[in-house]
Amino acid sequence: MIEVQNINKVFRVHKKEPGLAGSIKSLFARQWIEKKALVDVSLSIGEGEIVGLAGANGAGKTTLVKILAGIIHPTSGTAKVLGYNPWERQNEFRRQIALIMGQKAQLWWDLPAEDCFLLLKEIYQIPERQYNENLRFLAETLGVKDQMNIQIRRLSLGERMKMELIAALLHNPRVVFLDEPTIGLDLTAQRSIRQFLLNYRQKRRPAMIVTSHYMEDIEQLCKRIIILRHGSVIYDGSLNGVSKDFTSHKIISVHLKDNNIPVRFRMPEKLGAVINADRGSIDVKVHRESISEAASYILKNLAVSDLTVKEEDISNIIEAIIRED
Amino acid sequence: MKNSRWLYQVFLTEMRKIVAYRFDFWIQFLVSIFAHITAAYFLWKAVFEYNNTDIMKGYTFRGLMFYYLLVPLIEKIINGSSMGLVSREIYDGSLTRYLIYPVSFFRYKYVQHLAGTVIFFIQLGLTVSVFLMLFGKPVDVTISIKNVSMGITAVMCSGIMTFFINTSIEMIAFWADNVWTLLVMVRFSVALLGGAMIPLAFFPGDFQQLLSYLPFSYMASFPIRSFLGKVTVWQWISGIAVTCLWAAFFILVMFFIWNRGKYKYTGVGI
Repeated sequence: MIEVQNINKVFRVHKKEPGLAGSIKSLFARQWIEKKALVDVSLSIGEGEIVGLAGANGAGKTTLVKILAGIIHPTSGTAKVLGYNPWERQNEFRRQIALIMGQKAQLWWDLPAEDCFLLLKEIYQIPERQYNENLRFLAETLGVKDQMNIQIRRLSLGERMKMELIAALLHNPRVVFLDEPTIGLDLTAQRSIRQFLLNYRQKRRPAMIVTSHYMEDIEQLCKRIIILRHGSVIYDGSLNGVSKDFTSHKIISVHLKDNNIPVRFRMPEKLGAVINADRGSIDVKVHRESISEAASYILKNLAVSDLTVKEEDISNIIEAIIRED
Repeated sequence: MKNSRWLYQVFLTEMRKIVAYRFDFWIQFLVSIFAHITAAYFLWKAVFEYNNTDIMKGYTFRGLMFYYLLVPLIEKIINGSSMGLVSREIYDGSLTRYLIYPVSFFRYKYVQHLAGTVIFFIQLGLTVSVFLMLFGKPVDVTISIKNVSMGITAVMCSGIMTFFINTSIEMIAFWADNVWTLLVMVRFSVALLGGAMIPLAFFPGDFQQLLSYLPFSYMASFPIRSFLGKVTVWQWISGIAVTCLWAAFFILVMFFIWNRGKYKYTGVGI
């Protein structure tokens, strides 16, 4: 459904020295620098797949989404979305995709949402029946049925985002690009949008590409993650696979029979280290190869009521990768 | 027309947007008329008194005031409500919206422009009616169905040409961050060379001849004079032909700039 081969994107940006002198100097001579936003990016996404794009600011996530949605042209490389070259912007292609940008409102601020939807109905040539069914389903699921006649600019940020989602999904797109869909929203709104996206995907099964700074978005919505660093793909695989590829440790969580942790208890350095100890609970970070040895040591030296071995928190791992730790 | 219902919907939506803020809508309208008329009134009153005459270059004082009343109204109709919008959209990344929609960007923008035209035509009708009721018809002005039809056609053709000129200039925003100055220069040229500031009849004959080949007079003087019955049918036909030629030239320029500029678009702000 989405095939990307060796995409590169270089932006040429003008560099200005600070201060008034720099501004005046730039009137006569400008310095330009080339910024590589994407470097040799290749990937493939199948029908109905939901993929998370993670990376620090400037890693190239949004640039990749913009290229796949046909907004900007790559410097080199090829891409096919639904069999179309996105940046040729054929109407048949544009009728089957949707782009939701958390940082950029696409609806018309001075109009009520319903007026905007009517315009989109005509732009996408949505049949009357499909339009009514979709609008009812989306508005009811997102809980904004009563806000449809209020000017967009008078809605709360969360309500606005929900309207943006309705606007983007009215025409049943086969590919949905979500760029920071929960940015700036409170926890309740974030949760409700995530839940909606999960339900929507189950019902309509579009391919989705989600970029987000909130790891919870990626963790809850995506099974597959692509991590970008300085414009290059450094990981493309399952969410669970991130732990195996990027961390050599696991966590042993221990609950003691009583709440007192013996003062003298220390883990031998070669087995791992205690990373958390609180009221009868201890978390020990251990090397994958030393798990059984470390577990035996703990069981021998502490009065254990429960012991579990788990992967490190995935969001911490991804954040560490993004931070280049 | 097949699949063109969206154009009608864009048209309706744009009209709703223009009238969404009624205070702004009426204030803009009244202030622009008031500013034009007041300045012209005192200036031309002094000129007529100094020359001790009732008619100058075919215009009576009341006829001139009627001309100056039409200047801001016709300029608004020709420029529509979307002047500066395309450059702003390129600058702040809002253009992205139109690149996603499965419709022609230029058709969308033209219909937006047209919606402004229709609204401002209504303002024109209202203002002219009030003027005629209060002051009566100036003797040097002929109001007839023929003149009104010629005026409306001239305004529509000028509107199309102006849309292509403005959009071509605004798309320079693909390379330069701020193109407002260029738009102001066009407006200034229309004011000076297009007869918005001083009717072209007051210019020397040769200069008038030269100006008749440039697009500026077709953005103010020509449609106004068509309304006032101050052009012959032959002058009107040649005026419309020149307007169409400039429109054809600028549509080519517009697509030329678009085809190059779209590679420069970065969709900032998202």
